[in-house]
Amino acid sequence: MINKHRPPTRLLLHAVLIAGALLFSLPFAWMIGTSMMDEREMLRPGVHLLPEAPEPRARSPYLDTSAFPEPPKPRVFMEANWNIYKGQILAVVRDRIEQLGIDNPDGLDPDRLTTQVLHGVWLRVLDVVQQEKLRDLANVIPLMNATVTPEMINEVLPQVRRRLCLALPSVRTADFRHVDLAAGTPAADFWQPTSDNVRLEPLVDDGRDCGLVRYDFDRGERWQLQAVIDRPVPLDQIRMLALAMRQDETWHGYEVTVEAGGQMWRSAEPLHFGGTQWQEVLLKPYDPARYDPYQPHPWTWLEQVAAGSTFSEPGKMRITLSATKSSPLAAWYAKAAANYRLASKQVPMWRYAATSVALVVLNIVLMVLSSSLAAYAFARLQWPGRDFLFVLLLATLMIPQQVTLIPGFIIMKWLGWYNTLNPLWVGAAFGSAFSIFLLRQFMKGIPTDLEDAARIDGCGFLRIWWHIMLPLVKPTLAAIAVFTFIATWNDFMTPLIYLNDQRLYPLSLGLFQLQTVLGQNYAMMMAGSIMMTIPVIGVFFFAQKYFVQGITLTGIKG
Amino acid sequence: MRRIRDAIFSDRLRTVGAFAAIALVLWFLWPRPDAGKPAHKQVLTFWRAGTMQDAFLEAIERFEHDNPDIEVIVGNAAIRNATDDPQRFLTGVAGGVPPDVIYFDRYAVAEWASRGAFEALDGYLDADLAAVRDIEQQLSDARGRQDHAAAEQLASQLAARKATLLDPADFFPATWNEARYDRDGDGRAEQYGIPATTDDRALYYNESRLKQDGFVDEQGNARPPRTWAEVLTKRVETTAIVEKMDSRVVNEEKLVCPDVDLLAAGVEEGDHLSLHTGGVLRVATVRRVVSPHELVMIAKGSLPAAAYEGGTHCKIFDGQGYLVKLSRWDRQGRLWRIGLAPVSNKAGNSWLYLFGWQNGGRFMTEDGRTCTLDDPRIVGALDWLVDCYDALGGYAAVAAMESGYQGGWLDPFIQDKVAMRIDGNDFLNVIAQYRRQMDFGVAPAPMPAERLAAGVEPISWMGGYAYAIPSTARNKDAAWRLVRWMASPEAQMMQERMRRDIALSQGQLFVPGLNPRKMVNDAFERTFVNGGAPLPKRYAAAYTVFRDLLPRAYHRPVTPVGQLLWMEHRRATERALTHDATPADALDRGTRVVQAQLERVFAPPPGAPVRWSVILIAYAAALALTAAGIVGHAFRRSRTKGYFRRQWYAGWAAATPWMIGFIVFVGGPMVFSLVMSFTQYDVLNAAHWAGLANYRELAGDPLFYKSLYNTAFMALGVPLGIVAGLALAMLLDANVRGLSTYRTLFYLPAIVPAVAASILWLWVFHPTGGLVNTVLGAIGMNDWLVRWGLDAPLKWLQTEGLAKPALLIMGLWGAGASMLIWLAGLKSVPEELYEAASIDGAGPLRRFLYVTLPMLTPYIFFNLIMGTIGVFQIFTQAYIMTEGGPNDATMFYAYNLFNQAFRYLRMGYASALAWVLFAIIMILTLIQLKTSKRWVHYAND
Repeated sequence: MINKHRPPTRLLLHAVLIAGALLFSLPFAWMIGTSMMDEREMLRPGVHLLPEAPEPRARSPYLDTSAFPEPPKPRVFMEANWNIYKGQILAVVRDRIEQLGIDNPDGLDPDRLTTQVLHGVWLRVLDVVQQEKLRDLANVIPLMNATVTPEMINEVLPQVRRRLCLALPSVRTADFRHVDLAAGTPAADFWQPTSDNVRLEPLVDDGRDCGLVRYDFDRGERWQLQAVIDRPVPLDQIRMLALAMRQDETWHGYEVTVEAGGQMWRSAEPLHFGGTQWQEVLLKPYDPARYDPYQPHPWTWLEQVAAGSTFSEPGKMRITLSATKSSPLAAWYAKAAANYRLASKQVPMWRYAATSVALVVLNIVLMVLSSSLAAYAFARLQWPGRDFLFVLLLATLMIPQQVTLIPGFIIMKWLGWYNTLNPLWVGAAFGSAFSIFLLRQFMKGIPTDLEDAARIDGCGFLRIWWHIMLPLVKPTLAAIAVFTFIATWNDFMTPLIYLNDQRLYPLSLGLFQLQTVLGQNYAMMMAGSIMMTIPVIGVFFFAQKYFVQGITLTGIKG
Repeated sequence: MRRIRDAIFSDRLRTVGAFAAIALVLWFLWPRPDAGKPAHKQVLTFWRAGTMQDAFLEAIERFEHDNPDIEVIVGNAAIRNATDDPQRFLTGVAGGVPPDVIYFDRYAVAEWASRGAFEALDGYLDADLAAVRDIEQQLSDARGRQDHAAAEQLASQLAARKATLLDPADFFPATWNEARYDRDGDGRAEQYGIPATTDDRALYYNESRLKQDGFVDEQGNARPPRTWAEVLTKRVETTAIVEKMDSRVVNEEKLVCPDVDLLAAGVEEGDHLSLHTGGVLRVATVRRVVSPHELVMIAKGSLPAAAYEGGTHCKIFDGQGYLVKLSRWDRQGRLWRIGLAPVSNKAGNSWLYLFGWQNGGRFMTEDGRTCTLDDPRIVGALDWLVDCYDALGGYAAVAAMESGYQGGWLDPFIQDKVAMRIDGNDFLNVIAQYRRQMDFGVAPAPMPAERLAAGVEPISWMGGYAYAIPSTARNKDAAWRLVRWMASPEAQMMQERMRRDIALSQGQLFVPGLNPRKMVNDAFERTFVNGGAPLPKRYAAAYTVFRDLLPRAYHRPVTPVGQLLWMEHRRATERALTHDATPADALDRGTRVVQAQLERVFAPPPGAPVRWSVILIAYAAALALTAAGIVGHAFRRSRTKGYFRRQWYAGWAAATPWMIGFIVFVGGPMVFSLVMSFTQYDVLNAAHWAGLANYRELAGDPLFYKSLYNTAFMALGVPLGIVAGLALAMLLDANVRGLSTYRTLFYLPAIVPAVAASILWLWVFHPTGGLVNTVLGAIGMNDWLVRWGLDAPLKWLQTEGLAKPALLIMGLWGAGASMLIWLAGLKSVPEELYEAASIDGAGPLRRFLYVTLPMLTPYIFFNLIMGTIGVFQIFTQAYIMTEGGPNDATMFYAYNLFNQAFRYLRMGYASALAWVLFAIIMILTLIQLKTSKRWVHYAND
């Protein structure tokens, strides 16, 4: 079979292999792509392996043409017919929209705005009308007049126009009060621009009084807004600072600082204008004494800056929001990392990963030592009961895990090991029938000369095992180590049964916890899954030889 | 030999270094949750399913602030839903380390209280009350003494106490009583949970749709239906014959009803028909009534051929009723808008419970010993529901239409695709969030007219959550303090206020929830409905409807079989709606299932208690005898000395770890599990002998057979995996360039952790956004699927017939693992054989069939055995992706066993399942071994 293929066959073979490899890698690509998407992107119609490219626009507000690129074809039309009637029908809708009017305080190009709104409204129309009625061209005008409502336009508008709006921030205090800062002032007057490439205009967005931020990075790489206000409580009495804003999805970076009485707090993680909906950006002063890594922390930490601040007006505080232009690369990075950040804020993935690594190390060490010791006894030593016990060992290979599952639970409970990590590693200290069997087969094949020589030199059994046997079966040990790694890393049922303190979870249960917390947010779930998969793939690339060997070894023994 | 000695010497340092490094790694990474925590603090664990809301966390933080000696660990403990999935909680109770407080669905509290999982709270309630009385007494004493300083102090103490005092009289009775259960059977019920939230159900209606179809009052406002008859009235039900008509109007047919007088029944033009033939339901409109026994109708969509041949079951409904008039069908007869789907997951949230109560039915007797699911009034309610679904064109048609919709923005009510729905008050927030401007109204759900005439006021159904303390919790007193605070009006107000702040800051309306305490509810209404930024009138009116229904709301029966009753009542509903059984039969079967379980619960333990010590001693004795036998025999037979004798000891010593492991974790459990399979044991209570009862029950358990069938279905994956792996291996065996890259790409999926893979494929199979369906949609497959009678886009994991194939596809993705084995196998086939075959004139196909395949049989055999064993272990996918559903379609053997053991704590039954599994695997392996002689070729044979 080797090298007998002629070039055309070979080409075909490669084509088939590449197709197959693509098919097998597709879910991976899908997983990685999704992990970088936001919820809106995930529900776009059509197949999208990659997330939309972030567009760090220099100027905001702007019109987002990616939300509704094309008006879709109604189900009841054939392609050709649709191309004929499309213009006519859409013109009717457009007339109707223009008749109703579009509110455009952002100063966007009215013609392009209307086109985008038209596309969005059309999608909505297809949902609402009985599509058969669209074929009755004579009645399209009354139909559209009845269907397209101002409400529909108002629903579409926020999806096509992007604007950065800031409402009044609020503070949650240590005595559990919520204080609106500068209550009563218009939001647009709250912030003062300190650079000339940004200004605020009063606006009512979605029923909220806010300031529309108009900025232009072409006139400077940074802009800054500042607010000096009466301090409602001393700085150390602030539990949380909440900035209410609608972001413009430009992925520019920003930073928040809070200053008062010569002290300065600064946001500790990079923040980005990545969203499109109204949201509260929560900032919490970092206090190591109260920090519990196992609780979800959907906020961003504010860290005290050692240098302090020059701002020390008594009774006042100063909040600064400074934005920096993102390069396309920086925007990509910010967008790609967003879901990973959010996922590890909900569930302490890194700590769970550490627990998993510790368990893996312990399991491998114990498994290798105990299995090889028993295998040595079965393979190289003569002792009464050996053959009987070996048959017993072979028999245990056949016992399904389920049979010992329930008594195992009761025994662990009786030992007081429920809700400890012990059930997750103690088993390895006794070896597994499978590894013992595998190692025994290999040790059997080792010639006795080496052993005899060592014995003459005065080695005991323990030394022979350690210095002669182990080095000789290293490849098998490596394969066993690899298997133990996979089994421990992937084990889900054991932690599910034995652990209920979330501070002890390994990564597998941690990932499931993430699913129970985030439910339908698949982008974050994919980010979590990738975090769990990457170490396995990493180990695979380093130990590929042993993987292949291990799989092959276990497969051969028929 | 010097080299060996040198090596030993230089190795020593490295060995010590390596172990030290490992120890260091472990020391750094090992989780130490309580490190650095002050020792005087009590730690409380609080479980609550789902996302931790800010408001909730803040209330907890406030508690910690006020109680500096207590630290609360809050978590969802990786539970999806404490009620539907109580496994983690129950395992915790059984393991003796449960949470200290749990937030639990109220209707399920009694069920687990009856099993001893919850602590009765009456002692705490009484103590609090006594403390208040005591302070009151002291206060009046102090006032009597004119001791103003003491009185002032006492008064503030009293106020603080009263702020968290739980007085049953403050609560709506239904909320309080739902968590009461008489566990010891002394006729006095104990309190097992403190109501935390509540909700009730009413009818939402789309005003625009009602107005459009003329359902308006004198002022022209939309008028919701008040009675069942207004929603749907059946004029007549009969068997009829459809005749084709030579008509110019498409779909015009003649219907002959020999058995009834149509005119006398009041059938008229515009009435609505549902025709049921050969399992297919179609709807039609009456065009004209020709004679007392004949009418002309227009069918929606084409009728099946069978309709013209035999009798058709036919129901004729008043065409002016809400349900019919508000519903719309397209030309193919597909439902396009639903007037009202009374029992539905997506188009509402109400179940037979509500309709049964409305009709005056009761699901359990007063004493809780008898299930009355088959109460004629409940049957009557189900009859009406069946009529409703028939009028809509059948349960399947409704389900198919609904399946295109989801929650949130894609909710069918919000999309105008459902004109009316019966749902809880929470749905107000969904409307507020996704379609604030919608013209909708809320009214009490329609009732049977005769009940209204009898003076019964419209009723509702109330549910909600409760705080409960598990019976094996460690810090019960501190836990009670937390419960008391969380249930206090102040904490409730605080959370609601924060929820409002968050909603407002996100630019949303905020409609408050309902509270189990009347005064808190009034405060909610004052603060969040009428005060502050008042709610729009429409929402405020809707809130009032829900509030007014609260005192007349029913709760699900408090019974130790609550969940089973719930499941069975749903199952009976579904069977009746799909015409799988008549309403009476379906309910009757449900009643029998529930009653059997009830009797089991109330029956005294079947046999004598199990004395584990005897079994333990017997096991130990057996082990000792075996060991003594082997050792004694060896010593008597053999007189080896020196090295060989030392070898004995070394052998024993080296095998000891494994032997201990075997005795404690394999052999012992085997004995233990075998014994347990003959007992009734739930860990919380002592085990009792049950004889063969578990095995008998198993033999009659449909779920057992279904899980076997499901598992057998998944066994299809074994040959499929072998074929796929072999195909890949054959391709790679050709020594192509880049072999290792291809090999890696094919193999990678096999090492993705099962949890990660499950979550990935959950998304790949997502009905609307998933990879599979978007690809199918992009290549235009959806239209074809619809043409083939499938419901596209496919609901892979939500459809009974597709869930298992979906999991098989997912399994094939991991075929790379077996590919590696085949690669090794192919390499082991001697080249000479191929050459010999080629010389004999065999082409590639023959070479494969007569050389490759026979040489690979040992591998195939091995994979078959391992694959079969593996199939019986399928668990993680089912647990994470489908939870065993839909309709138990992915309830695999291992999952069923896990559920029986850790979800229902039926350790005896689960052990019986485990031993049956063991037997099955043994038999299958034996069969494979026996037959293998015929087809497995070993190279050296």
